[in-house]
Amino acid sequence: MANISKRNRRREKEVLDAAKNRRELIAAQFSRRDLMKMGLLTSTGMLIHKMGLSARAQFSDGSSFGQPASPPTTPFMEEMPLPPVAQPVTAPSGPTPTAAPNRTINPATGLPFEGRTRDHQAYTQFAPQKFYEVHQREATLSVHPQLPPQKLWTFNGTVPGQTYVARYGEPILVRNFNDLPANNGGFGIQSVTTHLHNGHTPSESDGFPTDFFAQGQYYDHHYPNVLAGVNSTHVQQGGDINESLSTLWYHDHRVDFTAQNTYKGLVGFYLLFNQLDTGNESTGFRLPQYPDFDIPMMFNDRNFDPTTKLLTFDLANRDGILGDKFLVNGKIQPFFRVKRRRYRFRWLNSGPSRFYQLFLTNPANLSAVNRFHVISNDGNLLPNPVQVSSVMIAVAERMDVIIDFSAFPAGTVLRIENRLRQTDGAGPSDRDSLFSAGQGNQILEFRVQSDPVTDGSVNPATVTAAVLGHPYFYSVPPRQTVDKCRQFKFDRDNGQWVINDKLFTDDVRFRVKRNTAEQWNLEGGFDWSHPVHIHFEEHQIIQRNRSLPTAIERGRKDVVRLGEGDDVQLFFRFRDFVGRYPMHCHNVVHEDHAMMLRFEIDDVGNNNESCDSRSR
Amino acid sequence: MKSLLHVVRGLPFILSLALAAAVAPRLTSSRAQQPAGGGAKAAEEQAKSFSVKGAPEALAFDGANVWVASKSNDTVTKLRASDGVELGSYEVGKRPVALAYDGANVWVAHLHGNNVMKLRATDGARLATVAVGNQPTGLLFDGENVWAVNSKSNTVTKLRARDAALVGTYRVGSHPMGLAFDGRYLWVTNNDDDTVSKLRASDGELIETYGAGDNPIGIAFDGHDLWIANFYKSSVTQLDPEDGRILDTHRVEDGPTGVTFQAGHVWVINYGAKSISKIDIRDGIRVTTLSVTGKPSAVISDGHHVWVACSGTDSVERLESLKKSAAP
Amino acid sequence: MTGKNRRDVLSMLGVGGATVLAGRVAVGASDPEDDSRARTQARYFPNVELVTHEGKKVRFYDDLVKDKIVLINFMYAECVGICPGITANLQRVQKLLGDRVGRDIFMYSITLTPEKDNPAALKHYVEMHKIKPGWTFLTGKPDDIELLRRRLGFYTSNQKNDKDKTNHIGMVRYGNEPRQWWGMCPGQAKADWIVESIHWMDEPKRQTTTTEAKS
Repeated sequence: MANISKRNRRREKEVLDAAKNRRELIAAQFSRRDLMKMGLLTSTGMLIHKMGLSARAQFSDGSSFGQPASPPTTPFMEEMPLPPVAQPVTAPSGPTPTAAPNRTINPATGLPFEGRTRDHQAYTQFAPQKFYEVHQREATLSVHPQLPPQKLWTFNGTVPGQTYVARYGEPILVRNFNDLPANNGGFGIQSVTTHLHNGHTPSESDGFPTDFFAQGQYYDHHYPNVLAGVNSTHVQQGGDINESLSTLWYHDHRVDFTAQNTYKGLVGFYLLFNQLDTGNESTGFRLPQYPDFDIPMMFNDRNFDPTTKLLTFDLANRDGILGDKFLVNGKIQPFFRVKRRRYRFRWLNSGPSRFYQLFLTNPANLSAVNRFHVISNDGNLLPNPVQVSSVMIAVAERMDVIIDFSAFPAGTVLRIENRLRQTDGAGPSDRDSLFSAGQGNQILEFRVQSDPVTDGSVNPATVTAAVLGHPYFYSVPPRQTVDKCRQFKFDRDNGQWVINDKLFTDDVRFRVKRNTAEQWNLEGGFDWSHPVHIHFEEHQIIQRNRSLPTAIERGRKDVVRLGEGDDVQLFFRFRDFVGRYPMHCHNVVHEDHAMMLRFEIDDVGNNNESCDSRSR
Repeated sequence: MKSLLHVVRGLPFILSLALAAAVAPRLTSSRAQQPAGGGAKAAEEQAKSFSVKGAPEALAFDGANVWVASKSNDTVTKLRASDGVELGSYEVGKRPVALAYDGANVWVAHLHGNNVMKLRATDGARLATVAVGNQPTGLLFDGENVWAVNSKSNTVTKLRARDAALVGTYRVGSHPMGLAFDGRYLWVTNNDDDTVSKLRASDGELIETYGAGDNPIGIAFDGHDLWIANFYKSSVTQLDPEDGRILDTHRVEDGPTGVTFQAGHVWVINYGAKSISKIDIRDGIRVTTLSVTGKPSAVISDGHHVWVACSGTDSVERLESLKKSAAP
Repeated sequence: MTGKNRRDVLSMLGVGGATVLAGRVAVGASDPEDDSRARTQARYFPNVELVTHEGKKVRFYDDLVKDKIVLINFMYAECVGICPGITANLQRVQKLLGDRVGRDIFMYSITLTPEKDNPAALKHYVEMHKIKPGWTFLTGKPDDIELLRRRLGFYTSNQKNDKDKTNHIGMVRYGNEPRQWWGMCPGQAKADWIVESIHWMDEPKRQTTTTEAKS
């Protein structure tokens, strides 16, 4: 064989690849003209070597055979909407709610009225004080003025769905109707289960992946809105105040179809206030006033078909879907007018797969570093605000931030920019690879207004522990000696996503004894990243890669990022309620391909998946 | 096929390919030295299993003992190679993932410590700890210096073995993971680039970069050729170190990570498939496979036996030929 | 070809109805404005010609997928890795599904090595594994098979990682074509779990949880 020099070898490889790519693209039924339009085919007919192109520009999911680029849209044309606030009803439609599921057959459907199969375990103790009714149904909504109206699946007609504004000590019941249409329009399944992420919710109301219900049925979710410890470690205090949650969200969790159903719109916010996190900036922690200056923002990325301009979901993608359109609260690249004061933004990455590293970019001054404060991670207020110049958010993570616009003159434009370069849905290829300022994904534009404004909220820069001598927000609950240690490796096996070499089935993998503490060691595999979510109880990251986690991770969490080769040790208390819960990768495409397990909290427990006994 | 290794489910961290295996200073025998008519089949080996706590995922041989690094308890354990008796256990740094032996000392690379530790082989005394680049995954002794490959810095670090002094840091490709030495040049697998870098060991000069394999991880030199494990390709690439020519590609099983050389065979651990492939290098065609029930995470040779670390079962397996082990 | 199929599909969309015919599942209430089914077909189910292990020529979409509940996986006769276990597992699935297989639920295994696995080789495989009727093994032109592999999602989006096709044979795609429900489950999952996934594709009685019975 002739010795081909490096350059020739590379050239030869390019030619071969180009030919192969062209065959692929033609096989994919792109016409020559389409290819030219996409910039892939040069006028001489030579296909440009794809590796030399921005993968995002041509195949938004980073694949060689996936999602063609979405149609162009002009950024910052519309104001970011706020999802409507859910309003209670006197009594929900249908039969009166009861602790037992209503399994009476509905003659209209031939199915039980209610999809629930288990009794509410805490219905009497935490009797609902408010009732809500929500209908999952199709709605035709605009995501951008330059795209046609989209048929989305919604909770009561909007995406994100209605925001629940709940208070600790005020249990609620949500009657959740499945009124989805017969035709799914190409993806999504009309059987659903709604998970409240990450409420301290009894299992039967948690929205477990196989607790789904059919069209024409409803499901009563009982949300006690109680603090962890209420029936165990902190009975006298009504639960541990240091386990308070603030920014929760709800989303569909149907096994094997979570990615499709959430992508189609079945997502929303659930905010939880208490006597400290009051929503009133003159009381408690004095966080910016809800709702005027306390703003939920749901980020997600989506793809739109270049021909029909309709939302499209790549059913063939198993590694992770990257969208090339960035939406906030259901609109592509909106703007948002702000006053010259502090705001609390509740940032949520609702997926499906992308990691974000969010910066505040001033397009008129790209070299400026615009800092802000992170106050809460996954809905858990940190001990103290942490000043940052950017923050990473994996799927399902929430970061509450305080941005102070008073330093910017009226007329200033600031953008939320994702500078994390990611071309593979499985995870960022290199954590250090960031776009330079202005070159990343422009997600939202803040426009600073001139209106006179007062600001009674606390200045996060002045409330450090050094000044106060104690945490400004909650203390991290002290850890205790654990009763059990379990070990989990998130890995890939013959093209499948596995936890400890096993794929999801509905079998119970291990049992946790109620009111005990455990340590879970999670280990990442090779070449992929997994935001791992454990339902029900918050965890503390004891160590990440043998070191203390960063200040932002040194509180409580419900999603832990597991990068290539990462080792994390988590501390848990499992309290108060029993039943089934899952642990899963929240890259919902991985989740739907069986990267999930079911565990059960009961009063016995077992030793499965133990750190010591590796023989499973 | 007989199940040879009695191993239960494994959870090794895959980067821990005991790239030290690629050195095996005594194992530079060329194929000309191999006895003819080997033709070993899988069934000719069986395994002897030794328990090592803490999820072992790296191995090295010091001439008499096998050193084992365990990831979950951050220790290295010294086993007498002749009978597997544990002679000592030493606490090291954060997540040991690679080992090398320099003739007197055992070197340990720490994935999460971003450093390398030098232990005296006789008693495990700590002689030095040296910072290297980010997330080192491999170590190699070239006769004078110890090399660390820094997977997240895209560099290799050269340390003088005698006094652990930093000699230099040299740039290689993207996400370098494995190291081999052919007597003159250092070879580095660049996992993201699908290439190998060839550096002159004397001065770290990058001589050439060759396209090789797909997601290469482990690499070993057999005296003539380089063998490169292609993680996603279920194959091993055989490369001519003279000119970077790809001589052949050998089919193995899912997720090969580590390679070593012994007795006329290249041994490959297949992390994904939970198996070990044995390639007869004289014809390169005969590939036999040994199934294991756990995922193998490191492989070395001590000149007589092939050793495999299985982190998930807290064990180290020594492959033995039936003929030898049949004798009492 | 494409144009004709598209017309077929569009005309079919007008059918609607709710009865289960032999070999067909019900088409839900259809919206004449909605061409999503045709678009789904065009994107994921190319109507390539395949050959069954019995030597019969078939069209992938028209003959194998259209109007059906299906279970699709990839394999190759010489595979010694996870394939035999998956084949055995799917045999258990077939047994559990009983006589519905071949009637309104169809099982397909497509070879990844069509150049080796001609119909005779696949027939030999079927006989060797004593696979019962209703489960069809398929081969075809290598380019067509490669197209199917990619369209059906038996690939990885990372180009480098995708080169070894055999790394991706662990999954089983299941779906209900007229309802446009398409999911995937692991071929190594317990057979009764795979069967449950298939049952979800029925309407509408299976759209409620069956978890309780298991816990």
